[in-house]
Amino acid sequence: MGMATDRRASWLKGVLDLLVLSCLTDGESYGYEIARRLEEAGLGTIRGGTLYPVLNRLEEAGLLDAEFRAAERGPGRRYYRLTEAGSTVLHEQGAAWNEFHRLVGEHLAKGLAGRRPEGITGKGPTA
Amino acid sequence: MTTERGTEGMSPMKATQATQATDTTQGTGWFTELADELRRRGMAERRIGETVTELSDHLLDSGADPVEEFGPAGDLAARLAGDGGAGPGTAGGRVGDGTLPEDAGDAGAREWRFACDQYVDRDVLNRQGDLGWEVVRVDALGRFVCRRDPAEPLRWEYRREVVRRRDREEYAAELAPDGWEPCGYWLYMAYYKRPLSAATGAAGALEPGDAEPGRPWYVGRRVRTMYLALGAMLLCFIPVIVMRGGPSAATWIGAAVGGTVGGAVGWWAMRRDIERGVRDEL
Repeated sequence: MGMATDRRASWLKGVLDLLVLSCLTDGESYGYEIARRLEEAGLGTIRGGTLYPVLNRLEEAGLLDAEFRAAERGPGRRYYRLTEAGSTVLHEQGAAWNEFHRLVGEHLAKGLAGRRPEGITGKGPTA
Repeated sequence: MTTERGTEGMSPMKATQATQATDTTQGTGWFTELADELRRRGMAERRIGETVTELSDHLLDSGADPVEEFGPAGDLAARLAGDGGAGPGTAGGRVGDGTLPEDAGDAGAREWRFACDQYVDRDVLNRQGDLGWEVVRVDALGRFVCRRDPAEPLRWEYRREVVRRRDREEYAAELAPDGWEPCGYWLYMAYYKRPLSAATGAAGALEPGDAEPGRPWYVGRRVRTMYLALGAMLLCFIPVIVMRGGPSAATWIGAAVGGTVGGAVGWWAMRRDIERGVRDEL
């Protein structure tokens, strides 16, 4: 079980910055909300220690703008917004990720074909 | 109501209040440590205040304790501020270039450049490679650009060959099956690297941990002697020329001829030494 979580964590690490960018396509958001949305999407719990360095790097690279606002309740938050550059990079890299994902899937399918999956008539993986 | 004047006086207090909501002494201590670490790494004071406030707010929402949510304060500070970085909005060389930034895992890697003469290069490379330094390329000044990953340092070995430009690809392809990969070219020399793990497996890995870079340059005995001799020669001739009222046409002609002939002989001799793989002591 530990190994499965580790592997998943390392997949997530490779794509987290794109996921964060994609959370901002329909408007601005703040750290906790971004983490919550990703968790609700089934991607697991994103800890603050993982999320904020990513937000920082994206901001430093000019892909996000951030604005600090004192909140009605609580200390205050930074609200993040996608920039033009961020949108462009998201589209380009998102497409690249999809292509990569497709190639991985195809290669794995070849490897898995012909092996009888447990409890299913040996039809092999479906497309 | 925002920003500029809002954060200064407000954030530390509100941050403290926020942390008191979760866990008093530990929370405050964690944020204090974070602020100190960020300050140490050169982050601007206003940015530190914003960061502490932002993270406190996050903690309020998540209800976790700081170490659980963010990890050790020092580690987070390193990933937020880098080594001497000061956060967004400053000239860090990586600002606003519109490409996806590299993972912090890579940013934790150390970089180091050094130059050395061709008599000691292989020994220096192999010694440093054994400590986990990997040559990434040779820069325009002929220096080796190295990096070392503290998380998973590997031991590297190096070799040098004399390879003509047009033969580079072919040569690299010949060495590739044995695990050698070209890591830099300089003049007619080609350097190759190979992780020791290719031959020795797990023994080729080092314990995770950081290591200090070495010197910026390494010069062996021969080259040192050469520079000393050059210096001595200049010390002899220049005062004489000055005393005689400056260089005449003859001086310039002599210097040009001598320089060309000497230079050509030196180049040839150096190349011969390189082809023979002559080594030197540091």
